[in-house]
Amino acid sequence: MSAVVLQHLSRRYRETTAVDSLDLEIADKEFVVVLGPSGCGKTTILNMIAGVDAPTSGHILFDGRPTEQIPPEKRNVAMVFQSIALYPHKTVYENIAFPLRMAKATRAGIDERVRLTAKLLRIGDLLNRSPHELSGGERQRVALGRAVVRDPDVFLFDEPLSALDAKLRVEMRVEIKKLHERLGSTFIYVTHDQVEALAMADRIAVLERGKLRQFGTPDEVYRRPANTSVARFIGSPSMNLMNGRLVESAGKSAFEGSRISVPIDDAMAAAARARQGELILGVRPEGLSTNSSGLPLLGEGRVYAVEPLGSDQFVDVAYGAADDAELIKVRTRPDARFRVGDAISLNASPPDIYLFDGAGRRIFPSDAGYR
Amino acid sequence: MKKTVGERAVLWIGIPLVTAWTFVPILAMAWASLMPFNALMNGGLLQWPSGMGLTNYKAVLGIATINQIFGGQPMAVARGFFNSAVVSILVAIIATAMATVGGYAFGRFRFPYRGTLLFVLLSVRVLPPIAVLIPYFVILSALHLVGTYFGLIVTYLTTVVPLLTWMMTGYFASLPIEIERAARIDGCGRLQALWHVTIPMASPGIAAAFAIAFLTAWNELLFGIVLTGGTAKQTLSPALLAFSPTMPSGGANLGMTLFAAGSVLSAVPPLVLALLVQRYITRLNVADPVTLQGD
Amino acid sequence: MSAVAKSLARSDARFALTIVAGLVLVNTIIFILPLLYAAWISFHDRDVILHTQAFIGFGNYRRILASSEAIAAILLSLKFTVLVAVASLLIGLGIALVLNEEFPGRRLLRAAVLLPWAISEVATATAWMFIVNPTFGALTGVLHPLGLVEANHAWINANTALYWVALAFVWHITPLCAFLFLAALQTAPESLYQAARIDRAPAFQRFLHITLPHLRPTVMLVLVVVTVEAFRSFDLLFAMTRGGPGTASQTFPMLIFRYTFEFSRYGLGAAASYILVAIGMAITTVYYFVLTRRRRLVKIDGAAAQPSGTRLATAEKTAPS
Repeated sequence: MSAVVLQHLSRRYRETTAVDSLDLEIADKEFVVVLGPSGCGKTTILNMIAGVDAPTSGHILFDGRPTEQIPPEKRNVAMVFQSIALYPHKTVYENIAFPLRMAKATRAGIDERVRLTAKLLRIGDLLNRSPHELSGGERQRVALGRAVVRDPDVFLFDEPLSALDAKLRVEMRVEIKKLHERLGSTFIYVTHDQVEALAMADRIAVLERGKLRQFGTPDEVYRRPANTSVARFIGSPSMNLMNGRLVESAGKSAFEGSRISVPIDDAMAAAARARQGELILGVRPEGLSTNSSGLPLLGEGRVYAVEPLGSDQFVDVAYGAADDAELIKVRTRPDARFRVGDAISLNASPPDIYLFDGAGRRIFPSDAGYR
Repeated sequence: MKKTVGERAVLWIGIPLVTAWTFVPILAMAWASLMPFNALMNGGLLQWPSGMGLTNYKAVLGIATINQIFGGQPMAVARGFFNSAVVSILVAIIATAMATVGGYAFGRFRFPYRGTLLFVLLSVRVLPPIAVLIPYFVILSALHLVGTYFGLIVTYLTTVVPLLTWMMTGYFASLPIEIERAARIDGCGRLQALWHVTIPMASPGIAAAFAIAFLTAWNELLFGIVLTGGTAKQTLSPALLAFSPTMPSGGANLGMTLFAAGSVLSAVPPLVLALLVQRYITRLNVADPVTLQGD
Repeated sequence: MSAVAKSLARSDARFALTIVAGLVLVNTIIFILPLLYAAWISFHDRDVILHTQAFIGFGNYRRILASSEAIAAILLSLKFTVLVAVASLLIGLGIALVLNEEFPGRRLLRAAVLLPWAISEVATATAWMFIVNPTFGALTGVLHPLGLVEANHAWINANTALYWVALAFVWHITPLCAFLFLAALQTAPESLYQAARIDRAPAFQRFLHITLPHLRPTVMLVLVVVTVEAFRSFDLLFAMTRGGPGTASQTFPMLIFRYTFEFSRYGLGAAASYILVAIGMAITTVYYFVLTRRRRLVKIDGAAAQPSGTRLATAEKTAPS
């Protein structure tokens, strides 16, 4: 069992910085998802933890021990690759048995563990096949089996589900989560899919261009995004963000965007006043409503497009002139009827309205009110 | 999908042309090798004379003698087969081993002067064999190594190893690195990962490299003539060439049917080998290391 | 760099460098030292019989470059190389186009086409002698009865020898070109052909606008391979004509062979070898820069055509997610 700590970890290539001074403390037995768009350095982090890539600077500690001198084969980590990376010339059985063989386990011991693992992952009848005879889902299970079989301290997953179709992905998601519960090892899981992250993680590390943007529970990153990049990345469809400024007159405060004006309450105004200059107002599609119960008013716009999705319905509302409108997305009940061009007014209440400063840092609501 | 007129024309004209281009010279040689010498001389190649058979083959292997002036030559061909086999197999084994390890280092790792060294590999391929031969001949003469397997094998290695290292570099670079990483994480040391995972994955490329090394050594003439010609270690190509009408010793056309039979026999091992590894040779991309330069 | 990076990078580099250093060492011993020795030889006038040698500096080089025989041989070598390069490029492409179509027996023909490449240059010479021999060759055998040539027509004469040898060499080397082209053709974008069919572009137009642009990098590659092979070739010339008749097919390597092993003028031979190497290096350098420059262009426009899957592997290593 291992706690994994990354200290000021950086990895630079000739022209690019893949990982930029990353600090991350992952507790023992924790399931941490590293979330970020492709090309943000996630795979590099896993490779460095596994020891197959070396940091340019910084440290990786396992249970407080530095890993500098530990080669990959001695780190007792297991990794499931995006490309699956099964040994093409070995059968399923040999693939799963390989880590045990390398660990010099006895033949009987290997056989027992391989069969147990195969049973656990429901691939018992595939043991004599070779990888190219398997379907994508089966290959993924074998790759999991190869990782699980020798009981490693740390599991590393590099977008393991990205090659699977949507239905299988949901199935495997649950299975990996159950696997974590059963094994009680540290899981570090890399993905660009925020749904996967929210569904599986104990904590999510949101990464952008090699930099850590936020590290928190799924609820934290969803309800208290530290900055606009996290806000944009978590939640689907993503948060509506508008640029504007604080305007105060006659004791009333409002957020003034180029096309939208939103009256705001005193607490928000106070937070905004503390940071002079540009503001960004954010509100999630699910935080907006089309009935008049909520406050403050977002003002009147026109229906631009309607996307019925069965369980939900998303409506794009246009503010401003037709050829230069700002679009706001709102989630509505699936049975609500809208016609393109209709006038519509949107409301949102303070807990669902976020304010960010010009640099994108959240200034409202504060962490203090978070439960 | 239905073929267009253009495509059908390509097939109807192209297939016979390709077949003829490939087979006519080989068939001419094979046909002559079955003919009695006098029939060829008097009636030319395009006939079916009586007495067609394997006589020339038996003679060239020294199994039967025929009434010809080349007393010693047939035995030389049989011996040439043996010598060429020894030299080619050893060259193929050593060169493949060196090129596999070298190609792995070049294909998988970045290190100082990697680009320069790759450029040197390519340049070496361009060196004409004759340019290498002169110092070798002088040195091997001084060491009394002319007419030995050792001298010839070392000389062949100088031409074969750089080319194969170049090819294997491209081959290793094209193998997915993740599988090797998986092996490291699964508990392999670097050499274990190479042995258990990378080399088995690279086996098609290694087979092709082996075949190319064997073919090069087996088919080579110049080094064979200069370093073993006329000695007990004479290889196949120089032994055959003694029948050639262009050689001072050969005399006009006198050994032509034996020459044909010997040449056909000499072509058998390379043909078998080429057919066996044909699929793999296509996958060795000769230019790859160039495109791998400089990142 | 941190200690982590240093130790890991060092272990990587150490592993690779151990191997490479070994290779370099072996190659130095079996390759560079002999070449240096050859340079030393080339600066001496060496008499094998009298066992004397005198240092004459660049005397051998000057003699060669002043000799009309050597200049003629160099020009002949270049002519041979150009002939072979152009012809095997075209014929190789033709064969690849045929083999790329689907027809019964395609696999068999694909394997068979490789045969001329597999057999030795001596056997190639033998095979072609049975085509062009004046007395019993197939060419005379076919054309004489038709009254097109007289019996005993000397196909290989002072005017034609180089062309016949070039043709035989083309026959021997073309399979390699065909296979390189075939590999490239098989990665041609099928969807483009389908789009062109939907647009009713005739086969020839499809070839011109889809196939040829796709093959352009391979054309360069084939040119490199064939030029190198033709430029360094010796065996076939030696086996087929021995440079004759007269000096009609005496290329530069052939002349060096004569200098060295017929006249025992090692110094002269070694000097001539270095001139040959210099020409070869010049050609390679030009090709090398054309190839690497093409790559830079490819890099700029991103996912341009690439002859093999190597790009993926490289990209993976240099640009992680």
